[in-house]
Amino acid sequence: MNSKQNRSRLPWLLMILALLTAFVLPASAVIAAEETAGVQFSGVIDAIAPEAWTVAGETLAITGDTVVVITTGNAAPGMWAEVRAVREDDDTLTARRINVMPPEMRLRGEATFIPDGRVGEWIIGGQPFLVDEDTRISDRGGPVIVGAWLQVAAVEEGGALKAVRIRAIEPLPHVEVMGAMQAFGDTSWTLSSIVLAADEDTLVQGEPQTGLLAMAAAELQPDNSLLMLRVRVMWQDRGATHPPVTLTGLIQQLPPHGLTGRWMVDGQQLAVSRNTLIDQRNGLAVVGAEVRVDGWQDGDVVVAREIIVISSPEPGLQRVHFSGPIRRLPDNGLLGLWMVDGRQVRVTEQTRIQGERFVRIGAMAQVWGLRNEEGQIVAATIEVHPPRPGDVIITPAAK
Amino acid sequence: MKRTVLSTLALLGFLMAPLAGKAAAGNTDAPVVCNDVLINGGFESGSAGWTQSSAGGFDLISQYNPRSGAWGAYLAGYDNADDRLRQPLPLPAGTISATLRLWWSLETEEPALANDDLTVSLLSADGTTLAELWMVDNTAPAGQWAEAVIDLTGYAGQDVTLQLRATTNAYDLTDFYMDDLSVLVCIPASLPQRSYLPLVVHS
Repeated sequence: MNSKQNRSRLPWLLMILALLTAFVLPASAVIAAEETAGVQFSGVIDAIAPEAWTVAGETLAITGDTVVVITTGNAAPGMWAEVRAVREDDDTLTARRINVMPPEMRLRGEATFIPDGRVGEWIIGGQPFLVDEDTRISDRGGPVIVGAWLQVAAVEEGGALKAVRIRAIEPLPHVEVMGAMQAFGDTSWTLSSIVLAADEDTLVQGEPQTGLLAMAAAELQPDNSLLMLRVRVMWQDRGATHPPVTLTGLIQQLPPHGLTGRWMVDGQQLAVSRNTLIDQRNGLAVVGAEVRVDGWQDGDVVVAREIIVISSPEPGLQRVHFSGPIRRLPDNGLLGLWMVDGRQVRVTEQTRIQGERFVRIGAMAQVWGLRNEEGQIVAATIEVHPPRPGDVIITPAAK
Repeated sequence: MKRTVLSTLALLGFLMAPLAGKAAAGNTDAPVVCNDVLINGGFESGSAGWTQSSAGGFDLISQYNPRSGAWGAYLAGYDNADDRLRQPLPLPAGTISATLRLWWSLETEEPALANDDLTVSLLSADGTTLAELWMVDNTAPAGQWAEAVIDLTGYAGQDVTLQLRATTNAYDLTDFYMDDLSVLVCIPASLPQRSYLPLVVHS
């Protein structure tokens, strides 16, 4: 290569360098900053000082590069924060970004008591909430009445949960709670003063730590207590023993019976338990369906906390949701035709039955399903309610 | 010859790259006047300045979940929603910079798929969409406020209307909230200025 050729290439090299300077390098710098972020978590602000904040017991160094966003209200201990931080070589954390949020817990559940005039103590998802004149109530998603599913945002005040906002939502198979972890153990957790029982089947994603925020799904028990099915602690650390996993792919293999057991999705083995959420609103979880999986890595297996069907060879023509008493059950086992609220419902290997121990003629059930091309309702999820005082239950033997 | 021109441009580009931001911001030596030209961006004066339409017949300026003050915009929150808020924007020719800032938040019951969205767009004088400037859908993080910053400088000199629009599908609710909007327009002090007095309605 002679010097003339080198000279002729110089302008092009300069142009490439100019383009890199103007466009590519800033983008690379952003990507690098994101990649080294390392730790993300949400928790309660314990203390604020010019050079360090403490959030959920974690000390965060504040530098000139730390971005603090006050999303609403002001930055003060007791508020909540969403943190992005870098873990330094000496294991300390340096905050990159802190979003400060109001300390509003959220619960989604069925309203079972609303006082006359609406002011006073409500029972939502089995839990008491104080409603006063300042509570904002929206009927936009449906009427806010007893029997409706509601979403409540509340703050802890004087040992009670004071409702800030309440609105109606579509019914869910489980009560959902998002709040700050105040206690945790093998048998019980407390999220923003809501007590949730735990057992050996409870799926726990992330390392629990007091002060961190967590999102839980729970089953309402006959005594209004909540049994936690799964919980996600809002802490993500690239160096964690069980790193979080999100993957999207096609179902290649399912267990021989039902949906509990080992799945194969895009070559990845999944462990699916009875507490794994399987959302089949967009179609049934059959081989060939595309799913999004959220969970965590445990050796070669991904433990699935949530599986959402994105598309399916069995999509159904129409979503159906209704509730009513169970009037008929199959003669042998639970698979086959049920009659709920006067409608015939096909229960298959894909059907998730919550509250299976309460299944009997006369029990109240909610059905989420898909109407297929033959007009038949195929149940995706059936939630059978525990009996309530006054319910007349006919046992199968008495049928 | 062509190559020489290119190489000269490349060299200029290389040398000028660090100055690009300043150039975009305009000549900083000339006197500049900046004003928030949006009327009632915090919705504290109710519907003043805004035109609203809602497929569900709801009042879109609501006290349900404001970010600050007592009022904010609450769009969608029901199935098959098509809710719109509109306001004409004065963006005079010669504008040095025009920046829309808004705070938004959402709550959703949707699963993973993006089915419900909130868009910010500019409409031309005949009501057609001139530009979709920004969009967020139900897959975005829920339950917390975030700020969006949108550059409107390129639309200076045009007769435009700002539109905030939320649409949802037939299942699973999504609420979209907005509050504390502003459109900061900076013009050379030599240009004739339009001033906007704050409008407060007392009930």
